[in-house]
Amino acid sequence: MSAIAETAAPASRPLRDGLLQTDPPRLLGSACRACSTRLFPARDFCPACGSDDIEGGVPLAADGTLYSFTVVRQAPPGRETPYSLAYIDLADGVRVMAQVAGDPDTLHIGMPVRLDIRPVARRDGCDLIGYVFVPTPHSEAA
Amino acid sequence: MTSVHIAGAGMVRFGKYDPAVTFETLAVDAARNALRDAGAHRRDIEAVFVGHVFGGPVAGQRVATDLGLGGRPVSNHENYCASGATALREAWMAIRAGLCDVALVIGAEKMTDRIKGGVTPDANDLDAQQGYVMTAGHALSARRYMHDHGATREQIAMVAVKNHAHSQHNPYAQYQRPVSLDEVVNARPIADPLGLLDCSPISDGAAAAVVCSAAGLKRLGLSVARPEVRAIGLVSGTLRAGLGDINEEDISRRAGLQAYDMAGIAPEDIDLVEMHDCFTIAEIVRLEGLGLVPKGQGAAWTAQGRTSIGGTLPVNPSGGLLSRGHPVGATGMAQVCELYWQLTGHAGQRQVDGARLGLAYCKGGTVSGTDGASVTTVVMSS
Repeated sequence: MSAIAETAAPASRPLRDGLLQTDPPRLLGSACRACSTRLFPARDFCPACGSDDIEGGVPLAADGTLYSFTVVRQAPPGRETPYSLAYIDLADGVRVMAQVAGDPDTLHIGMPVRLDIRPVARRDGCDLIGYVFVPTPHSEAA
Repeated sequence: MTSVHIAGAGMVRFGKYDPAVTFETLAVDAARNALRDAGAHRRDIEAVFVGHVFGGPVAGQRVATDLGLGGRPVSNHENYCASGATALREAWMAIRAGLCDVALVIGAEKMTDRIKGGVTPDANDLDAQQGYVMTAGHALSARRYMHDHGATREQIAMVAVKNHAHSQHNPYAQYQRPVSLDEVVNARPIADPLGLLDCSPISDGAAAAVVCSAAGLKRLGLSVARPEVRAIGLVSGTLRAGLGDINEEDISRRAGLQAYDMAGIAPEDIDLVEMHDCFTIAEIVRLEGLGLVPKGQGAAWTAQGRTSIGGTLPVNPSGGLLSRGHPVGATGMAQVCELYWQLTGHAGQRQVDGARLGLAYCKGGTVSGTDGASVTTVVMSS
């Protein structure tokens, strides 16, 4: 179970159980006890070495860099455009697909970004808590 | 084990049809064209295999009923954009297993009255929940490819210029006019750096073939000189851990090797390719994944005309998905129709000289965390 399910107001729930925690904000993955490979979202097996000896609920690094990004300007009905979508390479070797907040014109490959846990949608009167990445302030990027 | 042949092929022109032209109408018309081309009567057909994504439950049986083929084994096959080729693979396996000698394979899709704004992964997919649409995935691929290999936006756009040049001579193509490089790079942006003309259209259409064993060909009174299906590879994506190259195309590499091994060929033996160019960049990275073009050189090869008709490796003489259109479940069988016409010398002004060995590649769908959902590789020889 994620921390969010225990502490948040009933008016919100995570996008998916076991995906994230709010304090401190982290995505939760799995770690292979045999080869140390980390994965997001968590799996109960290791795709790298085939081991079933897996630790779940592992908080992943909150900082990463943009591996690639795009600004989506046309999407099927139900999603407002434009939005920036990226692959983010986390500091502990996990690649995550997520939206990036902020000015799309400033995005570039290698740009430092940091995780932010926030409501990303509403469904049935309930805030869905998800994740986006935000550009890391320059002072902290170094 | 028997050889497997394409006895006849047929399709309808891909495009945007009136809502009154149904999935069943398109599929029946394509099937009748294939039956006529093979000189086959419905009594000759022992089983029907239908690939589609959005046709709804038992769409294949609705089509078989309209064709007068009720009573036979009919099955429906869904592997997203590889559905048509997957249906062919099922027929190919049934014939090789000795279960039947003459089968009808249909790929069909009616999209324009039900799909708006592009196709997406399943709504439960984690990437889809982040806003992943197919165009976005290929835009991420294109951006990184340009960064890693120094390819230019214009070189990638040349895939569309080249394929539209080819489709001028394909009467079944949705678009039969050339487009200029300026038109492609200045088209309405969809997902940066890709614009409208980097994307295959949402289309309606159907394509079909009569598929036979050697005995089946004899029963139809045909010579054994009909194109042979030498191999059909099918692989699925694998979970990717770590920070590897998103354009590695390991799924394409594995699908290629499976087909090359089965057919007993090397990639350099292939004379022409029908490639799943759902987006311009996809043609480039998939050719590289298959080992047909050196890593990082696909964009330059395209710009140099090496993948044009008359080049060293003609790719998509039909115009590909970008120009022929992309009714997703029909595409794999449309590629097979094109290989059939090319290998029998019936491709008209888009004929590839000396076409003896062809490869058709489809990639269908995405699953979060993997390098794709399904890839098919059909190898056919004259």
